[in-house]
Order: sequence, then C-alpha cells, then structure tokens
Amino acid sequence: MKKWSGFFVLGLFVGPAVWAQTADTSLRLPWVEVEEIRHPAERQPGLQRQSPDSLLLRALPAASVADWLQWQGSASLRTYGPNGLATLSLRGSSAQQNTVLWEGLPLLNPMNGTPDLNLYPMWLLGGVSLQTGSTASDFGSGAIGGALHFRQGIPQRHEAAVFTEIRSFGDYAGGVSASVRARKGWYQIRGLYRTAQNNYPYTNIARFGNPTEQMAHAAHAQGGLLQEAGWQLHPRWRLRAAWWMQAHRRELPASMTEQQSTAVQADTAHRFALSLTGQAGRWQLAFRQGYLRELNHFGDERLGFDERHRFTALLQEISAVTTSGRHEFSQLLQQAYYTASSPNFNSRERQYRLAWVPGWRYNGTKTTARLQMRVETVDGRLVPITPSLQAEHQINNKWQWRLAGSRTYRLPGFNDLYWQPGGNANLQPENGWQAESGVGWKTTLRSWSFVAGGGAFWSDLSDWIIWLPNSSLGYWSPQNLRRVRSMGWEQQAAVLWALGKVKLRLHGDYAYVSTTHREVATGEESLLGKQLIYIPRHQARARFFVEYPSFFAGWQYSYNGLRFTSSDNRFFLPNQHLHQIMLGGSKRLGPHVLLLTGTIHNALNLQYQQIAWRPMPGRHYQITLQFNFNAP
Amino acid sequence: MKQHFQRFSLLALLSSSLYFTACKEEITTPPVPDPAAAYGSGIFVVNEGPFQNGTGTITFINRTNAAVQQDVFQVANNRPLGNVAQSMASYQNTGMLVVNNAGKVEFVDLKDFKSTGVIENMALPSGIVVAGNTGKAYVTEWVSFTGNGRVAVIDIASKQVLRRITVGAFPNAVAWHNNRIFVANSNQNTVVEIDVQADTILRTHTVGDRPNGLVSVGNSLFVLCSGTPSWAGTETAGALAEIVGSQVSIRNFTAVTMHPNNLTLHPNGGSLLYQLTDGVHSLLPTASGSISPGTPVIARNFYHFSADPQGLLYGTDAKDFVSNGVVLRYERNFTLKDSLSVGIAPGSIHYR
Repeated sequence: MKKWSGFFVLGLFVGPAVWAQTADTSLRLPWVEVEEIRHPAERQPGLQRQSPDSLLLRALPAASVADWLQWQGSASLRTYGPNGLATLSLRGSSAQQNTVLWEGLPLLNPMNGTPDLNLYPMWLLGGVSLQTGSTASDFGSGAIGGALHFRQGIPQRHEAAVFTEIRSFGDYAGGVSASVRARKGWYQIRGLYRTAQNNYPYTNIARFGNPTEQMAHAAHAQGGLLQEAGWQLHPRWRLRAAWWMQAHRRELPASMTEQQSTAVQADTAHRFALSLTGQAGRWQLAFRQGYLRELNHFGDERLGFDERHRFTALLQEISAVTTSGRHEFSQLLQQAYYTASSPNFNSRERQYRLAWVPGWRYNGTKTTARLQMRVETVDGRLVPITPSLQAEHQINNKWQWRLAGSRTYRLPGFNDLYWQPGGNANLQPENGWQAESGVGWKTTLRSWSFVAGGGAFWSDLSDWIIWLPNSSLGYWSPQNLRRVRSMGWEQQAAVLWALGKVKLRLHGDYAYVSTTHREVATGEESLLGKQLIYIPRHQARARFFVEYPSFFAGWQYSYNGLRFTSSDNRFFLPNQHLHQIMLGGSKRLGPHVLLLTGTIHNALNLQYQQIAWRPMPGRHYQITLQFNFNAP
Repeated sequence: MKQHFQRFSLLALLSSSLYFTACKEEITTPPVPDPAAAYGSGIFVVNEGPFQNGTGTITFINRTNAAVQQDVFQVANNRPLGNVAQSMASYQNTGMLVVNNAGKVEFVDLKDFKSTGVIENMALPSGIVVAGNTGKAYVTEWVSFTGNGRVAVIDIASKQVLRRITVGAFPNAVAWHNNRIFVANSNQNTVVEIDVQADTILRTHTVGDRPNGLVSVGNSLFVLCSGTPSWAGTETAGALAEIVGSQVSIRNFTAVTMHPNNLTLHPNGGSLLYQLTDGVHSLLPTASGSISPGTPVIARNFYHFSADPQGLLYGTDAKDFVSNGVVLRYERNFTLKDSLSVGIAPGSIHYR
C-alpha cells in the first residue's frame, strides 16, 4: 500500500483542474435517479442515457451490471451463465465495441478489450448508467455502440447500510457501506462478498432423452472493496481519491456438448482514481489520473494450463473549459500508457496513446449543440481523426429533437497484435461513421405523467477485425476483413401515476437492430446481408412498479428475438421471454430503515440459453434483508 | 494442427470476441434423410462444429451422385453429436465418431446412422483407426496439453476400452500398417509402433519434428513432419520420414520455413500429396534427397485435404468457422470438379 500512497501524493501536485457540474440535458425518464455529472465529456446532448431504477438497487443490491442490463432497453447481453463471462452488445456492436468508464477513466483490458460485466457489482459502484451511441471523440477507442459509466455520488450525511442475501443454488451475498460527511470533505466505503454454487438443474438437450442434469463446476466467489475520499481544499477546488480492489474466482463449467471442465479463472484488480477540480479565472480546470492493475489467472488441471495474464494502465487527463456568453470552448489532453504481459506474448508489450480533443459547445435557451474532434496517436502513429456533432432542440414544452453523428474507431487489442502465434502487428483500427436522430415527448395530466421517445440510428464500420484460422500455418490470426452496417430504431414509453401515497410506474422499450455484413473476405460471399450472430433483430423490455409507502411490488419482462448462432444464419437460438417478480416492504425504526425483499427470477421457469449450449437457470428465488442506518 | 486451435479455444474464454463463438440450437431447414439411402458406402465429412461452444456434425456425400445429407447424426438420433467432432472410422456396419471435448466415441449403425452405443470419459480423444480384421479400433487421446498422451484400445463389438497404452505428447495421427498400429506424437519427433496382439509398444521411431500425417504405401510408412514453427521455439524445417521395418530415412524440406501438413496418397497410388502455404504439392515416394516443393498442383489452401482412394481429391474450406463450410472436389488431374456445402468447420473426411 505504501507505494500507492506515493502515487496519490504525486497526483496532488500534478496539474490544475475542474469538472463542470451542470445538469445533463439529455432526455431522461423522470424516475431515473439523476446522477451527478462531473465531466464535460459526459454532458453530451443528443445521446440517451439510462440508469437503474432506484427500487432495483434496493431490491437486488448484490446484482452485477450484467444482471441489470438484461432488463434494460437497447442492451443485448450475452452470458455464459450466472457469473460466467457476460458481454454487451449495443445497436449491433461487438463486445469490444463498447467502453466502460469508472470516474471517467476507461477500464478496458487492453489485451482483449472485452469488459466482463459480471465482474462489476452494483453495490460497490454506487452509480451506474448506460449511454447509447458513439462517444468515440470523448473516450477514444472502443466507444462505438455505447458506454457504461460507473460513478459514486457525494454523500450528503453520515449514513451506513448493511445487507445480506440468500438465493437459490447456494448463492449467498453480504455487503456493507458507510459514509461520513464533514463540512470540508467526505469519505465513503463499500464492501461486498458473494459466493454461489450455481448447481442448478437444467434440461440437457444435447443428450439422448433430454435428461435433467445438474450444473457442475460452476461455483464462484467474489469480494470487493471500494473507498473514496473527497476534500474541499478551497471554495473553488476539490480533490477526490478512490481505490477499488476486487477479486473474483470462478469455475468455468462445461457446455452441454462437452464432457467436463476443470477450468478455473481468477481475476484480481486494483484501480485507483485521483482528481483535482477547480476554477481559475474564467477557466474550469480538471486534472484526473488513474492507475489500473489487473491479473487474470487461467488454470485447467485436466489440460495442464496455468497461465497468468497481467496488464497495467496509467491514465492522465487535463481538461479546461471556458465560457463566453452562450459559447463554451474546451480543451482536453489525455494520455495513457499500457503494459501487458502474457505467456502468449514474446515480451512485455507496451503502448502509449496521446490524444488532443478540442471542442465547442453552444448552450441556447432551446438548442444545445456540441462539436468536437479527437486527434490521437498510438505509439506515435496517427489513428483516424474522430469528429463528432451532437445537438438537441426543445421544440416546445412537450417535444424535443436530438441529433448526433460521429466518426468511430476501435484499436486492435494487444492480443490481436502480439498473441503468439497469430498476432498481427499490421492490423488497422476498425473505423467507421455513425449517426442517429430521434424525438422525445413528455406531458403531465393531473396525477399522470407520460414520457415517450424514439429514434433511428445508423452505423457503418470498416476493417472489422476477425480471427480466422490459417490451416497451413496451424493457428488463428486476426485480419481486417469485413465491413458491417447496423441500422434500426428504438422506442420507449413510460407512464407514471401518483395518487396520494401510491406511486405507479410502467415502462416499455422496443428496439429493432439490423446488423449485416456489407463486405466480406473472398469466399465468404454467402454471408453478405446476413445478420451477425447473437444480435437479435427484435428485443423488448417492460417493467411495472407499484409503491405504497412501506411496500412495493415489481415485475420485469425481457424479450429477445431469435438470435442467429452461425454467420450464414442457418442456426439460431429461439425467442426468449423472461419474467422477474419482486415484492418488498420496509419498516422505519427511528432514523433507520429495515428492508425485506423477495424476488422470483425467471418466474415462468423458461429453459433457455443466451450462448448456445450454455444453459441458464430456471425459476429460482432470492431473499434480501437490508438495514440502512440514518436513512433519509 | 488442431491442438493449437484447441488451445486457443480454451484461452478464448479470456480473450475472445463472441464473434466466433456460436453453435447450433435449431435447424432452420432440417435435412430430410433419404429413406432409400444407406451409409454403407460414401463420403463422411466430419465437421468440428462452431468454435468453442458448438457441436460437431456429420455430412454424408453420396459418391455416385454427389447428393449431400447434412447433419445425419442429429437427424437420426434427435440429439447433437457433441463438441469438436474430430474423426471417424468404420468397421463392417459400425461407424465410430470421435468427439474431442465431449470425451467420447459414438457408435452408429451405418444402415441408418442411429446410435448403438457410446464410450464416454475419454481424455480428449482425437484420431481413430481400425486394426484390420481384429475387431479392434485404436483411439488417440491427448489427455492433457502438457504431458504424455495415450492410445485407447477399443473392442468394437462390446464397445469397451480393453486397454490404454501411454505414448508421447499429443498423439494425433494414427495408422494401420503392416499389421501394426503407428501413432504420431505430434508435439515430439517420434512415432510409436504398437503390436496389436499384445497391445504393447514394440518400438519408438525417431522422425522429424512434429509428425502430423501417416500414409501406408506397400512396406513403407510415410510420416509427414511439420517441423517446429518459429512461434514454438527454434524453427526447424518440415520433413518426410519413411519407416520400413525398424529403419527410418528422413528427407528434409529445403527451407526451414516450410511446414507441411495434410499428407495423403493420390488415388492412383503413384504419388504423395501434401500441403504448404502456397497450396497442395505432389511428391514421388520413391524420390530421394531434400524436398524442394516447386509449383503446387493445386494453388490454394485447405482446412483439410485428402484423397478418396476410390475417386476424387477433397479439400475443405472452413470459411469463418461459424458458418457452413464447403468441400471442393478435384479430379485426379487436379482440375476442380465442383463444390458442395457441408457443415461448420469440416476438419476431416472418412472414405468408405
């Protein structure tokens, strides 16, 4: 720990700065918790952002980000099973074409660029939101389909909470959180532990007679701790520091078509973030620094594997924003230094990225517009210059129109470049263009509120990286071979009703996503026009919550349309309808609140898979008990 | 070759995009079996199946009219074959399908391809060969990616493993030659010779690095060795070894960067065929000296290449490994005859 404290101290003396704290102006559904926006790059007009319903956070505190996203519109989740690898597709993007940001810092593993969303527990993170659409000019490589933002709010009082949770199949979780608020600073800590056997029964359709079998070798254990401290150094200057450590060990079960598995994966991560924000004259300044260090240990006793893959990332960013009338001008300078080691690399690989992002923003009474450009070099080589334009216009007090367009890109990961054998150091970044436009509408009628929105999107991505085997060489190698086009539309509608102490919320989402090959390698012409695998053309979500002061009930529904599992669209997974029901109540005990929630997952006991031959659990149950000290 | 793909598949849990992780759940256009068709004679294409999470399939090609039946195992048995189908052999009316990650050998009746039994709990089985008329089959098992492999001796009638014989690292190719079984240890430079009466190792032949193919021609067993590629250590050239009795003669390829694979005997019996990066080459077994490949007879690369002893040459194209592959059929004079759609990742072919 001593060497890390030195790192923090170093950061205190580097660079001035600040984050703007204006409210996000993008269309929001009114019950969504408004998070604090502390970075200019997050105040993006024209793009949509969704956050978990606060009721869900109370009812399912140990849930992972993957657990939340499977009920979220626009998101298509692919998971190998409870606590298995879970990845996200947004608007037809691949798993690597979305980015994850913690306190504005990209968390992505530079080796594979694939965020595993089961490794991010909501309880630890405090605040989570999903932003759809390209943010590549802000966040760089990989921010094509969208971005997940993790950010803790600032506590307003001394408070604490503790919860325990019991779930079917040997799943136990517990967590604590505590916050201290002083006049010139605050401190908060969150801890979580979860363990599960995941020994659920499933119908093995790969065996004769379709017998019921019990999932084996699927246990997992997870622990994490996140601390944050903040100091108001001066009325205009604020310092924040955060440390997040986490460990996760999971057994990797065999698929239905495999005999057995003895594979085990263990991940440990240490993440540090430091920021100094403030105002100097007419400039809002921000300096942020992050350090990530992660270890991925993969072992398989049966096959004789024991491999460790490590990476570190040193991230630094300075931003300056000044305002002149309705115009705002910003400058952003980012640098990142990555190192990675793996038994599959010839040596410890390194990469240095430097980006300059000038921007202009117009804040009119009815119109907000933002124009920005990202110029980035990677190890001295210029990558595609990435401009973006975003705008919103308030047509009247009910209607809003939005527009966004940008260039997009994704750098090849270290595995793509350096994996031995097969790595291709000559790979080009995936790059393309993206545009979207939509409208939002909201109105109130007596105790009823109505919100609706919808929009269309389009993206075209060239030089798509795909690993293909070279039979003469005997190994796989990545190549820039394909061009993929995504287009579709998304709709949302919500109704809120508040009558006396009763609050009712009904929400629905629908998305149509067509993601097809436009260019393929020689000999693959039959794939042209075919939908990419695991991307449903149709998906819908719905949820309904009723709250009475001390009681609540909720229902969530998720529909995923047919998903092809072969790129010639010959094989597919069928439609999938999932339901979740929860009931809960709370009891105020002086300044404290006791919460008890019961949840039925997969209420209709659907036998289903999200990745072919990887069975998901049928109906199962969960009880959560939470105690909040000094609750508001 | 496939062990490297296999290894990658496991590591893909850490590193892969889901782009190539797919497999079959339902068949949109189920192949309808021809009731008149029998599987007693024809071409069986063993499709490994989608990478990582899929199931293998068997495509049957009628040798006479090139009619194709897809996924004959699933159709006959109403269940998938299993993950990473590797190879097939047949004996009388019994077909044997080796499924690697599923750790099993499936037995089918070749009249209708219905399952007649299964041997499970095998340790990463790979290759299979029938030992003449002994009623036994020999299946190579990798066991692990680091230690020695073994050979399972199977009694075909009872579907029992009679014995297991420890061999070298990564036993893949296996052949029946001069009433003996020969097993290529593909991560070493040895070929093990097994006596089928006692089921014990008679001798171990030293050949070139990484033997990957065995072909019997008269009294000679030809062993194609890929050599060590640069990414796996000090690079060594490929070689062709000839085993006659206890004698081994080795011919090296002229360039250290040449790593041949897919050894097969031309149907006319007069030449050996093998593959390099530039395509398929021909070689006279009676030649001597270093091997200088020259111009390929077929200037393209295949995922698998072999010859039907009764007819044509077959090369497979696995495309992107998550869509159906094709088999390209060539006349004996190496001109392209036609191409047929098969299953996903066609990795080997059994001719019967």
